[in-house]
Amino acid sequence: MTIFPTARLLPALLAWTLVLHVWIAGPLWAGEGADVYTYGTVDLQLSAGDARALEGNQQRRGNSPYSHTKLNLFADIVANERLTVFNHLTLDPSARATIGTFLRTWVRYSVVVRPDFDLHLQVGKIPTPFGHFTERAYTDINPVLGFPLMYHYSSSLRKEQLPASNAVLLAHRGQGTPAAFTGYDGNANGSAGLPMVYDSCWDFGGSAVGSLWRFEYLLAVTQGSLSDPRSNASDNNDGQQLALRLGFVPFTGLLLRTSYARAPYLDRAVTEDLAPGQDVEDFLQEIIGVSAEYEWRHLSVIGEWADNRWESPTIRAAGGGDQDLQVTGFYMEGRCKLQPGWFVGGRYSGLRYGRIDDGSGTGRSIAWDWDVDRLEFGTGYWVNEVILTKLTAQVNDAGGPGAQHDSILAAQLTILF
Amino acid sequence: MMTRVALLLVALLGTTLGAAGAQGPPAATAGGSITGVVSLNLPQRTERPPRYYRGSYRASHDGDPAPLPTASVVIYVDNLPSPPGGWPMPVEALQMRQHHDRFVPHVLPVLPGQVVSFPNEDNYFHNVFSVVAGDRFDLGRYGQGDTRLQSFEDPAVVVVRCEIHAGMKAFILVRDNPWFTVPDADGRYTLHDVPTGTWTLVGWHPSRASQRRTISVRPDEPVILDFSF
Repeated sequence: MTIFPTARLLPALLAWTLVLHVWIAGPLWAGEGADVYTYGTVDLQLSAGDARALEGNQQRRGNSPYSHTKLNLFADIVANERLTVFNHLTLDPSARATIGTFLRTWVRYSVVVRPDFDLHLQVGKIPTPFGHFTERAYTDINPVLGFPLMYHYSSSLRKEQLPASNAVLLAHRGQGTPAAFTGYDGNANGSAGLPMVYDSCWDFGGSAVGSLWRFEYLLAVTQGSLSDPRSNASDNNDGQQLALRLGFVPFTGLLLRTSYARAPYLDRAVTEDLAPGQDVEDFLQEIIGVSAEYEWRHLSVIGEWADNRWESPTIRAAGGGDQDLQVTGFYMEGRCKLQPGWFVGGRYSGLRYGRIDDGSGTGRSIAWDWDVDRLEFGTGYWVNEVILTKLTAQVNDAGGPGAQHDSILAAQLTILF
Repeated sequence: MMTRVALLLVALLGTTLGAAGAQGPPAATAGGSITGVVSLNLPQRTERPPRYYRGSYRASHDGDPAPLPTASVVIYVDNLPSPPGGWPMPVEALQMRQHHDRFVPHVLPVLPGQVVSFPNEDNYFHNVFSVVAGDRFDLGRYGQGDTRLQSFEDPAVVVVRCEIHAGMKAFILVRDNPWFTVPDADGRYTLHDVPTGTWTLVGWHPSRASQRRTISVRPDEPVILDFSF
């Protein structure tokens, strides 16, 4: 389906108008009675380890956990009791992205705010509407440095290029990371594969979020998908993502959540490679997840599991029918405080890729990407209220023939202001 | 474990004796009094959103009266030499509640060794802690109806926070002598039986510069001194 270019650009124009208005006019709002609260973090990292392990932690557009320097700036503009404009800018000198990629601005209008019930409407580049990690991705909350694999690790599946066959996809196993990917046609074009959830890049859209009694809820409609959020507002297909998240607190200290999302994930660039009658919007990413968080005294434990499927126009089952590309992601994370300001923490995360027919005609099926395992553990110490130091070690097994364990040792200094 | 039991016993004993009115400075011989009015001109601001995105955002103190601004001021006498054996320890147990995502009171002056209890009155977890050097403590997660005890040994300004709710912040002023007070709702304060001599009177507020004044305390001649923040 062809879209008139102006219509395609309209969401981007609206979004950037909003962004520019907030950042330029924000100080002026303050003069009109709004309160502007600014804060931020500076993260300095030193790391030593295998290049392959570091590449495995890279994210497509930056904000990688082992970047040497990162600066996060926040500006919350409280216009009145109901209307707040949130702004979050991440600056990562090592990022291969424009500043707009990590400029996140969204507006929250509070419809109901009571102690037992709240409902808020959010519009803009909104926080990832899935799972249990988004609100814990900040360096002073994350007990280690890295992210769970399911929230960033790139598979060998791409959005703007189709593997011609099962065999082509299988030939590129383990090549999804930003540093390794060469494209199915063999050309190095600097892109990377799709992760299950790309948490660092938020999506443009709207959401209703709140809580009622022991329940919490979130319903979101966004332009992109969890694996490919539209970080620069312009959409790359004509479909929208629908995301739903429900939480329940059976008793104080335990939070259970389940999340679901579905969205077209392919880029218009592959339209000419589709069969007649097919549109890129016909092929969906569908993901469902569950998570649990338990806290008791000085201990907190979090576990999350998600099943993800990408529909593909070129991947075939042994019998000739369509075959989804499935992957399961999971992690377990814990943190224990030993002394005031001193904690130890760790996370084990993994990805398990589903099997597809290998295209040899023998009926043999194999995983369409290499399974990945990651163990990360470390310790942190709050020097005072605004200075946090961490020392962590990460061990990875990225699968594949002849694969060996690779590791990273890292130190992090975080300054809050 | 033994430390916690001891703190609990001290708190229980303090609660019993406190009813007899043992709180406050010890009786002094030939002391004077200091009195005055505190006025504040603080800008009215909307409530600060929680640091970072935290999902849903309930109202925590629907219908609660706003805290009195003057309750965040402490007036105290500084540089008083300690008598041999130190000042008598007041036995009243002090309390800093966690109520609707606020510490109540917001500012609490105490003496070294005094025990403070931190009851949680909200139906969700709080985690009271401080990482100010020398006064570090972490009471862990605990729920409604539960409490924890903590004593403070060294004179300091202890910044108290909740690890879960970043907006919760309070101050415990550990003073080295018992002549301190918090103004009433009208901003009036009085310190009785202050030892005679020339001392420094300090007006302290968490977000304003401390104000220090030199005073001469004499028997039967009250010192009248106002503070404006």
